[in-house]
Amino acid sequence: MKNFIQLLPVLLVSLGIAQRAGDRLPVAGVNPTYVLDVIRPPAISWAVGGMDFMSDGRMVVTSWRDPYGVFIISNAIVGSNPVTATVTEFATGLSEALGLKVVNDSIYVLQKDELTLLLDQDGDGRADEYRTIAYDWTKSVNEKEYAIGLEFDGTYFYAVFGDPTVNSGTSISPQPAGRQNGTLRIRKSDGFVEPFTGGMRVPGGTGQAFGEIWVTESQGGFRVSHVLYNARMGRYYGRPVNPPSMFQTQPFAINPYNNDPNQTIYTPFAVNIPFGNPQNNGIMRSPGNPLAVTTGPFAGQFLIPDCDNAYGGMVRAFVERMPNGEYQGAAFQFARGFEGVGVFHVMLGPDGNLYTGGNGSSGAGWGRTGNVGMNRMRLSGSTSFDMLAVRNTGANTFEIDFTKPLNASLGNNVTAHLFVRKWWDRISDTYGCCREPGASATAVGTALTVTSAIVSANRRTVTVTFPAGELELRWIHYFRWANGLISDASEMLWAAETWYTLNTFGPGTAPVPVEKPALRGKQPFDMARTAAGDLRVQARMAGNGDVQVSISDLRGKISVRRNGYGSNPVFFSRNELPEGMYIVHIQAGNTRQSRLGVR
Amino acid sequence: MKNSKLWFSVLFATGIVFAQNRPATVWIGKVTTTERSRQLFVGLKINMWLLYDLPNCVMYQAWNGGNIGGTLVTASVGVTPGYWFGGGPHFPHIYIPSGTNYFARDPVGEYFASYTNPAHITTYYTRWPAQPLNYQGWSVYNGGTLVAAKVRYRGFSNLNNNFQLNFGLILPNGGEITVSENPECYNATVNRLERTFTFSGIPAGYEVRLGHLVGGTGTWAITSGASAIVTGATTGTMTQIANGQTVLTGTW
Repeated sequence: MKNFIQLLPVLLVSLGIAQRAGDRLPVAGVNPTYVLDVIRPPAISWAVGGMDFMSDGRMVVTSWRDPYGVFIISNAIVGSNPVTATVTEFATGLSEALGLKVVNDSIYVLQKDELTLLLDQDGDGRADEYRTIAYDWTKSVNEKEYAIGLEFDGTYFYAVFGDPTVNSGTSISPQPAGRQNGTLRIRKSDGFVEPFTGGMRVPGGTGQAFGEIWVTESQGGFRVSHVLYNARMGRYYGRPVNPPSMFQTQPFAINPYNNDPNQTIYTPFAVNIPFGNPQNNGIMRSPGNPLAVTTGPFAGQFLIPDCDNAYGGMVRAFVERMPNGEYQGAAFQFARGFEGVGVFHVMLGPDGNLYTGGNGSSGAGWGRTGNVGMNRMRLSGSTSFDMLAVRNTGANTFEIDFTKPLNASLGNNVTAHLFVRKWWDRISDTYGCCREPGASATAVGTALTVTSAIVSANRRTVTVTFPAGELELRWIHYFRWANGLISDASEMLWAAETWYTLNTFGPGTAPVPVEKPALRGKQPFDMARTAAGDLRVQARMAGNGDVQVSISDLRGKISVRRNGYGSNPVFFSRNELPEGMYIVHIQAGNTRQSRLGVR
Repeated sequence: MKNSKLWFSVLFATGIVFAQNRPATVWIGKVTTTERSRQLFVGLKINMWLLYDLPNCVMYQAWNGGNIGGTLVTASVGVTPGYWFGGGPHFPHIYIPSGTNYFARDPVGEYFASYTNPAHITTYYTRWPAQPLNYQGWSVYNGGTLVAAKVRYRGFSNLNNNFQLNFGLILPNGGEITVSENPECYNATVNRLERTFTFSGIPAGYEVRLGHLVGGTGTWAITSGASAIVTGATTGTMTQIANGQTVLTGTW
């Protein structure tokens, strides 16, 4: 009897009855795929806003609030003893800088009310010119009108902007005229600001992957879940304001979506990331920026920080590109155990490792003060036993890939190990409302019948088939593996659950993690002078990718460089061009071309 | 003469002559006040702190702020206008200058994004009629006729601890009149605020005007430059008729 009592928890877990880490409870800690280093120099005792790196390995970070500055951390931060890195204050007196981008070693910082280029004219290591690049967005005194970013595609910066919400279901009405609750893009050459998307509430961060802009946003009014968007020009995402902002297709109304999950008023979200703790059918409390990782077993997938200090950590999102060109996919628990618990920003370092910054949140969501943290995530060489990908392959089928083969003892049909539910998000002006059907936090939605779950020959993929009509578009489909589903090494799943956002039926295709750039044609790029005498260079690309454009004299001495992306034009001011004749060089991947120009 | 030029260049480059002591480590800062975001405080001396409205590029408050100048508070202290909140901010967010004002005028005009629907601005002012709709700090005239110039804030510098506000007045033809303002405080016997403006790009026949000059308890005067205060010493308009430097001095 005593032995039975001791073994009961193990038995319950293996049968899928009891909750365990990664299965309706938070994951156990750092995902085994990574090793976590604590790297925070003691001088950093505040919430990190934006992060980026200089070409010599120095890290640039902003403090979100007090001390309201930009700091440069010596390149020891990417070394073996990062906590010894020195920290130098570079700029002060900023307005909640939650975005940062280093372009050609120039530091651009996104404040709540302007995009600023910080310049050190006298070379003393501190900014002495705060050059305003752009501020053409309405900004009232409301605290919630956050500005977060920052992405740069070679021509435009991208940042996201919240509306003047007041911790309730809706924003203030009337809102400040012209406030764009969505993405803005800002042309680097002249600071021209242009609305890019609309209908957002409180954004969490921006990312760039597969040649597209990605944005996360927090749950709240008109948001049942946190969401990952694929932001494209002109799109509206369903959070109305009054007077309407650009691209808004609906009035500022109460419960505008009624009971129709198939409404077409707003663009569907790529991935719904359920709000809450795993005990309550959620995996995130407050998202940060989406970073598409390019190495390791999860290459091509997003890691998204959670800055909540009570739960915190990081989730993972897989997306696939559907036949209609849209992305959709699944969210998974991924990692916890970060210094300070909550993580606000994650980015790729120059050494290929991931670097994270905490936001100091000591309560749910935004804005509190408390713990701080900075970490480095190194690939461990191991791989967690996880669902690698969840793909919809038709009106009745899904395919689920695993990182490791399933244990042979499970046989070829694992239907008994799989539980599936579905629900849809009825967004309304009630804060966080509502998942339909079912109001229970722990057993939301409707259970689905699984016809079969057949293991592939290599035991890494399971094809899940449902009765006709069970899968529904615009519903979230929840998959949970239990009852002792183990790998060939007898490991239980690191994260046993996933939430798939089904907007359209597949099969889709895998997005290309990093599209291989190649210059196309005999004339590899276009050159033209603008009316002001500036030089415009535009690559002719087969696919997207990074482009480096430089200008040299006739002896090949480079005088100026620019990074570009795809076929987006790259500009050089007239003053940057050498007198007389010069050579324009353009490189994409291993392809390099040159042309002669005359000032 | 050649050597003296070189000597001054060296002094300027090293900051030996021009570096200033300021009252606080962070003496320039972007803040939100009870009425406006995009405000910049500048602490020249413990007895001379300034507030600029950046979209309009105008100074609208000066005060004796001591070593701190002001504090950040939350909405819950009751100093914030209720119309933008309705719920408490998460953290101290509103800047309240502390000390005695030399002058402080009413809020200047709100900045709206250039892509704002004009009808929405009407809605805004219908709801909040106290806000100034047609405020104009800087303006440009051609032969006495108002030109539809737009203010374009371009940032600031603090080289050698000297503050300079940089902005432009964009003309309808795309041309730009560039303006900078360097404020400095001297207080041997009285508190004297010198605002040195540098203008370039003013087309022939054009005038640049700075309206709503504020006096408070003190006086304003043009102490050098091609400018004049045309409608009174304390509340008038400064009119600049040529490129170059002009010093506008206030005393308290």
